[in-house]
Amino acid sequence: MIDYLLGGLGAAFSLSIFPVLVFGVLGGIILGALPGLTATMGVAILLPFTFGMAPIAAMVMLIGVYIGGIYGGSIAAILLKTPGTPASAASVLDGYALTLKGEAARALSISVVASFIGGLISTIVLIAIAPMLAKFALRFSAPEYFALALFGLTIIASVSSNNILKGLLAGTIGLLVSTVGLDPITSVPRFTFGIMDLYNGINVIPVLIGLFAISEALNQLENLNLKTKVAEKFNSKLMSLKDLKNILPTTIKSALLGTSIGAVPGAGADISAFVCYNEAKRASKNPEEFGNGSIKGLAAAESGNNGVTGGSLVPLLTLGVPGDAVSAVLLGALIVQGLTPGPLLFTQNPEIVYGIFSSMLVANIVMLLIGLFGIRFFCQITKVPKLLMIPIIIFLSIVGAYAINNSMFDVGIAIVFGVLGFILGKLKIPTSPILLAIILGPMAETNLRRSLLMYDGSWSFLYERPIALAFIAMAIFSLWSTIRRNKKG
Amino acid sequence: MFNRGVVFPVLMIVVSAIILAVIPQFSVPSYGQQDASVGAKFFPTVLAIAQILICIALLIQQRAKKIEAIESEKIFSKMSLFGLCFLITYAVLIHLLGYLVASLIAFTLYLAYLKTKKPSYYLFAYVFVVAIYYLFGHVFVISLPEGVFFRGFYD
Amino acid sequence: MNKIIKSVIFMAGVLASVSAFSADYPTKNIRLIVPFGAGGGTDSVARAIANSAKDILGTSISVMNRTGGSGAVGMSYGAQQRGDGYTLTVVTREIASLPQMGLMQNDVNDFKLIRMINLDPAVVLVNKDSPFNNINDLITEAKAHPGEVKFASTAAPNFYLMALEKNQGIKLNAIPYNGSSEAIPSVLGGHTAVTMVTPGEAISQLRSGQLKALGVMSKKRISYIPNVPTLIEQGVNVTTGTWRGIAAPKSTPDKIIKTLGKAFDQAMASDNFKHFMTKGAMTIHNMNAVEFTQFVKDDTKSLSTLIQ
Repeated sequence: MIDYLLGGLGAAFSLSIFPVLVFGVLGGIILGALPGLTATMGVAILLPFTFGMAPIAAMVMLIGVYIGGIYGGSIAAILLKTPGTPASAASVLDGYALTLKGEAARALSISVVASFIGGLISTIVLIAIAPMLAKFALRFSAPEYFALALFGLTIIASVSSNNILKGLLAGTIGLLVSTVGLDPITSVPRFTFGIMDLYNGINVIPVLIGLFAISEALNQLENLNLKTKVAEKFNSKLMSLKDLKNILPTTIKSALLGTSIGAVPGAGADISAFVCYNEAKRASKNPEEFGNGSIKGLAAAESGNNGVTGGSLVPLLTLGVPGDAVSAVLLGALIVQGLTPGPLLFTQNPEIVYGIFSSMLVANIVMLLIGLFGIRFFCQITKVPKLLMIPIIIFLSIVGAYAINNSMFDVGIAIVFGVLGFILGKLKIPTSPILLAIILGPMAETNLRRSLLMYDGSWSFLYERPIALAFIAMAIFSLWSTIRRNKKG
Repeated sequence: MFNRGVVFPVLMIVVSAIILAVIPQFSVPSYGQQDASVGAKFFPTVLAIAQILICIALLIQQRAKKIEAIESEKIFSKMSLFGLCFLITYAVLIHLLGYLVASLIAFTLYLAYLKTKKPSYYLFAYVFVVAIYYLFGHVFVISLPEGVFFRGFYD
Repeated sequence: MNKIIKSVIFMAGVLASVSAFSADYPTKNIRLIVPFGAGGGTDSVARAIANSAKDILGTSISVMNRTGGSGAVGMSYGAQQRGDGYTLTVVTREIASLPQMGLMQNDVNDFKLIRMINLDPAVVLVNKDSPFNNINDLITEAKAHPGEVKFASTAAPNFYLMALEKNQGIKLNAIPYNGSSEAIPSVLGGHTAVTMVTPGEAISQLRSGQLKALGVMSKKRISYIPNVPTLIEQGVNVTTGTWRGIAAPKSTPDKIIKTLGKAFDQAMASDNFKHFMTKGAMTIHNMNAVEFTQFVKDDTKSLSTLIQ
């Protein structure tokens, strides 16, 4: 195994592969940073180009895009409060607060270091115990997914601790929005009013763009003064060693959590980032810092979303089933190369498997270097006059909302949610619960009803299955600790 | 003056009531499709009722605290209204004229409205628009809107 | 960087060949609308055929994903475009089923079909440890315990399953999943007993032996899984599957349809495309415009007996 790994590392650094890897990571970071463009889209677009490549080079490039894309979303989230992907929405909470304090460089360095640690640990876990993780993932059926979604929804209370009622209201708004479209079990149209664009439901990306980017642009316009810069204060200091020591335990825990979440097909980086953020806040001695520029909160979200990268390859490599949309494209890429993802890949083409593993290790290092060296350039954004930055955010938002599905309808959705987000902001109602609810709502509803179908209408699955029971216990615990914290505060 | 802490929850209660009125109109699953004991109507109904309860709780909370009652700041200031109009105009322009032309016009309008006179700002704006156009169209190969009037113009 | 240089050189080549090609079509980019998301099966077939056809037509073909309503949004959008040959649409079996279910306004009559690209039968799959060893084991069990055998359904309603249920007078407990990538793990984990997907969707589990095929729902055995008997061989006369093709809006001139037809014939015969399809365990099934149109009419009829 070590031989293969060393061989793979050698290949990853070879002249024919390394440039492809750097190209992939860099491309991924750019794609991820632009709202509306996702890592999935990046790998899908690049897929036909890989047909003519050697298997390792093809996989390396796609994996580079994947890893870079998840990280790239956070740059815009931290600097401009406009998360490039749903996975980086949790990074806004503390990352942008740090930027406002003038600590953009520190936030960006924490973000890339946490992402790196998350990606690295998750890759190591993938290399070490992928088959075991796969067995764990296979035990997930509808009841487990339902319980996981339920647990995820309790995070709403935690991210809206100023006024739980307002957070809950945002949650129900999001959950109701998530019921629009064809019902997942019976295909009955719900709240579609005959509009075909609504049949597939409301896409989360335009909602994300509206709630965060557009509403923020409207906000900024309000107190626009011709001379204001994006951030008034700017300190070029990066994170300190003390910061690293501070965030390390949280980061490692989040990396492991993220890997496990990624290993479960259907649960991705967006859910992971919020779960890890929630867990970091729960475990923290000063939870009131969260949302006001806590470096632990930022590190947890960042390590959590990049931790998924290794995890999501577990079902792909060990079972041959894609864990999320990106690994579905990777699956396609492997198959086109004449390879059979799944248990056979380890015995028949170990050089490919270890080539993938080692390129993931290297891709994470490349990401770290690009991220660290890039900080100086990224931070220039904060010096751009607001007057120019606002239309840029608006243009990128509109283009991004359009690009996700080539549809002006989604542009309309983004604008509607932009206005909604703006109004909610004035009412001091948090917007991230809406996003969380739209991601988790369909998961909760579909799997509850699926479970009932499997159990012939009996609700016994809630306590008969250990993993489901564990999640439900965690959900209750999470709610209880939030309420207790609020009473104290 | 209206108190927005009261108006919004009331508004949401009305919305929830409308939702509850729409739910019974969902069509019945056909084609022999089976459904769980908890059907398509269950989730929306529970959520709408929960939303009403939360809003009522918010109203009670508002009453108990009696704070923020006098808040003269309007939800939409002149600038944010301008922003909203700008957004909608831009979207309509894109629909009609396509990305490139619409963005150039919109950026110019925006800078003119804010009475910017710095040529460097205008230059920056145009370079940005064209750069994005190039990035999407030729590097990512994602087609940007062409507009109703200009089909074929961008090819 | 290399990629960009390559593509620039390529673009230059394309431009040169376009100007050399004096015919009046095509003179600019062609858009291919894919009614499903980037990265899915339909998307990858579309990108592969576009990749092969662009050199033949001498113009670039950009894939445009327009998702929604199980394909209804993209296909309706495609039907409503100008018939100038510059907007083509990938049509799938949903164009036969959705209009009958009232879930799509446009139907196959709003298109001129150009070519069928591929036709894949469904395969009946169970876990490797399943007590079922052939299709009749499954049918016997379903007859003994109606509505109890758990079926991981890739869509709701599932026409693969309905075809079998109607033919055999059986009833399974169909649990809807979001496509094969969710249905297969459910069978692998033993949460459901059986599923039906196309061979390409389960090829890695079939090769590694994690899943067992009870039968393939085609008239003849298929080359990728030669040991799997058809349902017909086992005395169950059911065939079903899914197909994909390329169509243009109704108003497109016949001359352009012919040009495109020839181009897609060549693209389907190209080594690149054949290689892609073989590796993915998908079956190329080239059907010309007339045959394809008739085929869709017949399939629409057979689906209507299931839907009513």
